[in-house]
Amino acid sequence: MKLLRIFFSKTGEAAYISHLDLQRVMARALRISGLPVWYSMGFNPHIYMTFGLPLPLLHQSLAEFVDVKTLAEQEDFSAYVAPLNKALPRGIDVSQIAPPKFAADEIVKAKYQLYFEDEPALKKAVDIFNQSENAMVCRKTKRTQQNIDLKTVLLSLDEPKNGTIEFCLPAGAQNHHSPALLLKFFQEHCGLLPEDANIVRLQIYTDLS
Amino acid sequence: MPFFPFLPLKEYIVDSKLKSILARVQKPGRYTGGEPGCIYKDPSKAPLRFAFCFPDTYEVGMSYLGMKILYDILNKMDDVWCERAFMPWIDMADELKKEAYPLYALESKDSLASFDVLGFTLQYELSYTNILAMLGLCGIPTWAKERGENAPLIIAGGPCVCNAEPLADFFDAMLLGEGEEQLPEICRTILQAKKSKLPKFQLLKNLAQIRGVYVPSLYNVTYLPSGQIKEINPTNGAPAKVTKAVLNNFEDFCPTTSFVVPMVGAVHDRAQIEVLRGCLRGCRFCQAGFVYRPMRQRPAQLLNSAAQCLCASTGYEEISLTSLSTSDHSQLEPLLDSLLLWTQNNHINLALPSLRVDNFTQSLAAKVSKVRKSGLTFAPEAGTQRLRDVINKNISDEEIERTCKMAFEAGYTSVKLYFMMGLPTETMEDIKGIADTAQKIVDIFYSTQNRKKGQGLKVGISVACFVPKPSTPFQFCPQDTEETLRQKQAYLLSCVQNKKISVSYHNSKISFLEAVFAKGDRRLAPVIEKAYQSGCRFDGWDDQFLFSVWMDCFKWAGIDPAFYANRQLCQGEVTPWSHLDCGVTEAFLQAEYEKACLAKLTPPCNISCAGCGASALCNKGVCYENPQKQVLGEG
Repeated sequence: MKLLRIFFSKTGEAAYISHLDLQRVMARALRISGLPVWYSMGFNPHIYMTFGLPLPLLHQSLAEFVDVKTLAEQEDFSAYVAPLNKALPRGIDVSQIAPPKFAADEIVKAKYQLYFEDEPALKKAVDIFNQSENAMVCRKTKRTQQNIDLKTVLLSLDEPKNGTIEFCLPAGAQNHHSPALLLKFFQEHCGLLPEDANIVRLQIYTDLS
Repeated sequence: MPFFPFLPLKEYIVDSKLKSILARVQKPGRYTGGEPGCIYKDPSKAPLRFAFCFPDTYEVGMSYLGMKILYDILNKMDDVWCERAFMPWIDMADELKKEAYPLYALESKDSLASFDVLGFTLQYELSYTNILAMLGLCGIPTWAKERGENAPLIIAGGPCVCNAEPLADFFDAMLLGEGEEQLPEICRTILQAKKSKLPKFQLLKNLAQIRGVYVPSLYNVTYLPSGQIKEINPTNGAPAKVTKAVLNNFEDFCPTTSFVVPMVGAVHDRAQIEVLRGCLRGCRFCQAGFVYRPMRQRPAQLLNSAAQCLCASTGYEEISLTSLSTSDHSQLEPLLDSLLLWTQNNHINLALPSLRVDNFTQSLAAKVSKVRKSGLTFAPEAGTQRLRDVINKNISDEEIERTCKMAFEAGYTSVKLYFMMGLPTETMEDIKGIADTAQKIVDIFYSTQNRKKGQGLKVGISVACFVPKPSTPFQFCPQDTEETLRQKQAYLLSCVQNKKISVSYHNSKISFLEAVFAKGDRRLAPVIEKAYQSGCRFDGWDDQFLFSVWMDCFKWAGIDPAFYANRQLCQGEVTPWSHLDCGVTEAFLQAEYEKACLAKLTPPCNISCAGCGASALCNKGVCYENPQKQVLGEG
């Protein structure tokens, strides 16, 4: 049995599919596509699937993947890309099916793009961020609450161009920071509304440099 | 190192205003469309824009098979583009209103106001305020007479059309019966009218000539001083009686094999195959059992191949054999056998809703449990044999006991029973019978030798309030008053002694309003409008239901709702729906009602024909000659 990695993007309307719903959508598309995937052996057999980094609702991404298992002997699974795309909702586009080159837990960094229609407001917000000595935001989870200095977390932040900035944050199972934190800073200190933001995950990396 | 090649970013939701609205609401995936199976067309090449409107949430609407059938049929027409619209949940409706963003169809995101036709489905009386809310959200005037030549045509279909008189003044046309052939014909008529620029009034007159099309504005209703209806008179060549449309070749008509597959959890999210239509049982309270007559079934081979196609196109992991009474399909076991040949290898479950106690056999139980063991659900409807005879629910205590014993032996440990209270001729004795039936099932479980050990038994009884419905033998009956229903509920609770038995009720106030609108007439329209304006919507949702607001609206209009719900209809009284013909004759309903009062049974249609009149709707033979023994012989 071997692992297969399915690379896809999740954009446009597909940004509104939650992670839980995505699992069902992907399973159904896999069944339609005919890709010979392996089912778990339990009482209710289901397709073995492991998603890379869960993507928050409303975020778009060009860098998603899901791993499945197969018993098939063949090496080349590219013939299943087209049927899979036909079965998937628009906004989810598979680019490649191939054996993985790294394990999901090796991911340490992700690159994001942030776009605001209000170009001057974004420029001003980035200026405020750059000029501040520190950039404290509160990270809340279901149980915990933690104050974080974005300045120490952010790995890179490019200059705004046409209402767009690109930046990198630590990502992965060990140390993950959501781009929503930067939006929170922009909301609290610059009055930009998070609901007007367009966030796209552009890339993931296995090294921090 | 980076791992992804550059992919162009696609944007389907271009409108930034909509985007920020969606960021503020719960489960925004309900409002975006884009599901697998969605149909997109070039609007410039589809001259007729049709929005199928479901006046309840996305989750409820996307479970509805009728929408999938008609979506498929309409989109197969080149010059029609059928899209979907649902009632947005309260947070979304408020956002749309606040931002003055019109309610839109999911596929094109175009405002419903820009469509040619809005087709609402009337599944439930308490979704009526949602219809007004949906019209309001896109700025379309509520009253038909206030809509101009360019406003969309607002039409309705679905089971409630057999009496949707309370909505008559809001709709341009209502479609009685089955839409598979009728709706395309209506669309062709509208396309023709559009091409030749016919005035709306002329179009409506033309539509009224199509079988099953009811144009309310072409009928005058007059009233007696008593408040009863005096006469309903057709004008402008409209037929005196509108007879429902039926799909003539239901047997050979392939079930829909492509679905729009919802991504945000629908209530029933599975491949549905309609195995038969109508019901041969004739339970006297059941509207569906009368308005979908005559009973017709599809051959096992067609059903099996359609199920295969549907699973291949949708990727569903569960098939539901859908109908009013699936175990009445004469080829059910051969069908299950052929389905099991391929479903098991493909990890597909089979679900069989609406099984009956009396023909639930051992081999059937085994076949169902082969795929998945869920709880067992039965609907005895009444607690005593006498009352079951009154309602013509042809099942006996022995059958209930036998089936439960069989199920327990097969490993089931949970039973759910559906009952009604407030049925005609009901006494406290019958209420006690509900508790006794449940207790007997508990006793059977513990006396079953080879029951599943180590798991406790759960018996749930769900008790609805009886609502008299038009086009049934009980249309003449009054509903129990709310006070009586509450007394009966309290008495039932006092009769249930065992902790294994749990009881749940329906809200009797909701049932009361349901009865008012089920048997209502045109004078209720202002009440519905007032209630909508006063904030009523999602009335069928317990937590949204504003009973006192409704009562204030009745008072405001000077209407006593008890006139509709709690009054016995007089012999020969002109009912608000007397011009709407579902195929079953008035005389038959009257005769069935009289038999009910004497607790006399009427056998199912496949045993002998009771002469209801519905077989005349179809070109082919009589329903009872058609199926069972004959078909079984072939198999």
